[in-house]
Amino acid sequence: MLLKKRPKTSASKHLSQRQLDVVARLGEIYLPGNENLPSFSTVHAEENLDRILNYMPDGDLKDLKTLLYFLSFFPDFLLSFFVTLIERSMFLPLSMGATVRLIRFGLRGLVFSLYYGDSHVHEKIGYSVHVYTDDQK
Amino acid sequence: MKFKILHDFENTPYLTAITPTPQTNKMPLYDFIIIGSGVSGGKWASMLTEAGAKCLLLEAGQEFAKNTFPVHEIDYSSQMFWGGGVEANEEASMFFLRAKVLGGTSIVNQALLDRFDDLALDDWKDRSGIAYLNTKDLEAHYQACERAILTGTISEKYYNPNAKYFVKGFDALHLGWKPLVRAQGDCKLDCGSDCIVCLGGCRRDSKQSSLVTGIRQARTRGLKTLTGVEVIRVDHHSDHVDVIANYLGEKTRFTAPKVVLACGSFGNTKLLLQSGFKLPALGKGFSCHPQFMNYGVFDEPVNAHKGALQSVKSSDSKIRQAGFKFENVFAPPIGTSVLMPGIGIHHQELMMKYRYVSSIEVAVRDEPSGEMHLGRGGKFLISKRLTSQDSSRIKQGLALMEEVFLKSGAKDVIHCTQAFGLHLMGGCALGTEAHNSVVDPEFKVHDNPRLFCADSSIFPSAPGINPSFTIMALTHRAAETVLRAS
Repeated sequence: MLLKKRPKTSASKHLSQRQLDVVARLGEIYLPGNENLPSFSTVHAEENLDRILNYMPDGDLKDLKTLLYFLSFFPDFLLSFFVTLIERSMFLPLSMGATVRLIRFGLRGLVFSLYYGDSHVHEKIGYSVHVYTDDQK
Repeated sequence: MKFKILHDFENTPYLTAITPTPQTNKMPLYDFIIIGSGVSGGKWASMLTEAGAKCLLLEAGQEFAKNTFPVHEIDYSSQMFWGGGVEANEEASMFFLRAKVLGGTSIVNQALLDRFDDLALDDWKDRSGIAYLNTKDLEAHYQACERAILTGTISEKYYNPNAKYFVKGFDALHLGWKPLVRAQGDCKLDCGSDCIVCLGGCRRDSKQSSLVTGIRQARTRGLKTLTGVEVIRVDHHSDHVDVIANYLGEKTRFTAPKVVLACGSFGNTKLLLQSGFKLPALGKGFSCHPQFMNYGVFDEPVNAHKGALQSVKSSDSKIRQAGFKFENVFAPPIGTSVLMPGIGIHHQELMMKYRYVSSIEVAVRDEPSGEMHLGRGGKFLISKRLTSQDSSRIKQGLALMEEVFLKSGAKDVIHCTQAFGLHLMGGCALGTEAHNSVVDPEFKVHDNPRLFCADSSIFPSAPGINPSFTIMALTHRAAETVLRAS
């Protein structure tokens, strides 16, 4: 999988620039974009990070930061291989694969939440909702 | 250990009133402390205050109202759920959604009301040894709960295409289905309301959450609520119960003669384990109706996110006997993306079909094989492995779901393998004997007559039916029992 130009990431009060860069690189692997949908970096999805991290339990946030720091040493091809590998963790025996599955779910959950929480992406996939409130005529 | 004296640092009337009393030899100002504000906590608050009891309700989450609920999925997921969105079992094979907000799960669910049947209650009676666990004895409680809220079904003219495809597939296979009974007022579907938004709280107060029913009524009768209170221990004494909590960054003690535990399966179990309770059945018997959502792909737009989110369910006795159930349901973009298989371009192509897919959820009546315990450093852990019977039911359910999709006209089916649990049950099972249960037939924790519990944590097994209405009914019975004894 070819990675596109690495985006410039914006600040998070929880993550260092090094950790932010990994989120952006992961975003490009999970969501590289095509003719219909933009890439993770195009919508600047990482700007939503603190909307999630502000409410993450302390222990989980610490684990995430450690993982991102560790992954920051991976070159692009290795990071891509790592993501492909953990995607297969669903098929590992229950007793063996817990940590890998947790990493998989955590990374998918984070990257997809940032991207599919974006209103520009909502427009592209056709998600538009409305609730009639009492103050409406 | 030193505790913060509440009236020293806050000047609001209710904070002054909950000043710990045994140490100052004053009469307690509250008759009951209720921990947790969901379906059970709200019902307790309503009934106890109606009878004249003074109650304090403690909730770990924050309070929102119809005009302050977070609008976006990314915000309500992180702000209104434990774990910042989801929690996992020890094996990380299954994920759980548990609301952390005033009103609990009743704020974020679809307010479905189902009575339990003989199949579910006979099993409970066998396991617990409690005779009143039968449809006849519970009916009066169901009816009383029904009278206290608005209920209804979605009129067929408001079925969205997702529901219509569900019905078409069921009819083609000659399977029984029926409308879901929901605790709802006026959703203004005729004005184009999209109820998927209400997964982050109802902006019309149409959904009959405990916040707009029990808690609202109880507040008019003097209920005091405190949010952001994370209870870490309960200490049972001969004449009172101490509730120790983290509140405003301080370890704080609240005291009352009687305490109601209404934090659900995880919350109550964790609290009792942390408090050092040694009951042998504590933490055992966890079940969660493992759920799987699959998608049928259509050529024409389905727009399953529009209009009434959930309208119909399976009602076929063969499906019930087989140990699973179907509901027509859908999820907003983040939820859908997490369930969709794969990554990269493939995943994005699937998500481009968002408007073109219908969705059905299969929920399995699982065996109560899960166990909850405290791990290293006191970390709360949930071990939940599917048994061979669970796996067989899942396989059978998914196969039938595929048939329903194809009969409804779907061109393709997207299979999602991620199991998740929304109905968290057990850990403090109801029963007559302390060696195999935690809560007695009068809803008291065994040997702890000042601690009460009537929420989903007391379920002896998985009913295979939406639990909310029965939590309400059991709480109704429990409150009546407690008030009669008082």
